[in-house]
Amino acid sequence: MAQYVHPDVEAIRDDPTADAMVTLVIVPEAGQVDAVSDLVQQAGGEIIEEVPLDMLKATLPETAVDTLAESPDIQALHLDEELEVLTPGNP
Amino acid sequence: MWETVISSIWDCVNLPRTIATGDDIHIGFFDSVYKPPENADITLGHTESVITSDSTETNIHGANVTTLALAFASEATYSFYQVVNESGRFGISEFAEGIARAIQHDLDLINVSAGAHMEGCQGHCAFCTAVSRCLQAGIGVVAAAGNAAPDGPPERINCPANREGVIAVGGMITECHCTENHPDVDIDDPPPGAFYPSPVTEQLADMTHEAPICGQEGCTADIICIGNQVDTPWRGNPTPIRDKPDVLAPCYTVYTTDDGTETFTFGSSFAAPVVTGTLAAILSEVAAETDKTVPADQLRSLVRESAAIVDQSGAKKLDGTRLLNDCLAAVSSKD
Repeated sequence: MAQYVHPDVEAIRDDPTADAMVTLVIVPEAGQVDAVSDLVQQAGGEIIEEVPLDMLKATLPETAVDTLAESPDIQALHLDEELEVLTPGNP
Repeated sequence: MWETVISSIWDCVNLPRTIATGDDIHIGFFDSVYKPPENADITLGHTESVITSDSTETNIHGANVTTLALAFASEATYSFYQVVNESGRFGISEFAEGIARAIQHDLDLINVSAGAHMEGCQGHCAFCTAVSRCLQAGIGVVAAAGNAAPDGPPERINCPANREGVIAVGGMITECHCTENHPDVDIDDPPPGAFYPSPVTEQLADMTHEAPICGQEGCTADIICIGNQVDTPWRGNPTPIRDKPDVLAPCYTVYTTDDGTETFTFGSSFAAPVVTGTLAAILSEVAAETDKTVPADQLRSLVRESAAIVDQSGAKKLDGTRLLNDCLAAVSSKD
């Protein structure tokens, strides 16, 4: 199974909405990019971007998130979202 | 005020004044700028923006960070990777894109004064994965540990600072306790050699310490600083976990706002470039003295082991002199 699943992705995994889609950033295990691409497509999803450093951005049904989270070919799953960083006044 | 601030930081981290200034060391900054700070006398490497923005500086953060490193490593080569947008946020994809470009640019060090807490990450999240590629490529990584919010819950160490091999930097202040140590002496508050960081960025007012900051210039003409200095972890530091943060460094800087006011700001963002700039100076000095390089995968342990105890909690601060000596010993042992 994935070594890291972000809590927001875990929440979707635990309570997916039928027919809803989600966009994830996926970190495949080393050498498993093609295998993960195939897995996403088999799960009804689509690779929308190949991110540098062998990461993938994919859109897939929320109901398929559990399948990815259980995959030994995946290292990490994140939502595709911007994160707050350390700026003055934003500690 | 800038000169006083830098002088105080320089002495706090015990960096020899005669050290090299970063020649032949190439540093990358992952922040809000993709051009050097205005009027900066800088050796420019690469300028890369991986976000959609027309601005060379999406906010002041990146300039403040870079300027601190420049104070310690003025002759280093600086490359900029603009990953932070106008909202002070960045995406995983953009960060990965920036890291990928940096790996192609033959850097020695990167500074990441940014991050986010990834609940449960043991070094496997996307941020940690990205910087691990830098480490594999022989690039040293210095990252801000994170900041606790005023009156907020305890903050945890951010990623990618939390990654093994990354030098995670928290904040510290050298407080001046001269007036309370010498109640019978008529001393100004603050003493001439110390300063209160005022005004301070409004949102950070609760994160400042009550005592003035030691300026390392002698409390008065008759009273030296030693004995009145108290090194203290910054109250905005995240909760330590495992071996993180690796080291503390002064976490304040001063900048001029649009209305011309010199304003202080705090955060581990500003401690990280102190370590980055110090490391650049030391790596340059080691190369000049020995014609050898310190392997990037040894930097974290060298910084940790040379650091000086700050207080009973076991927190340690950067010690530039001991770090230089340890780096020289490390390259000599390879003979």
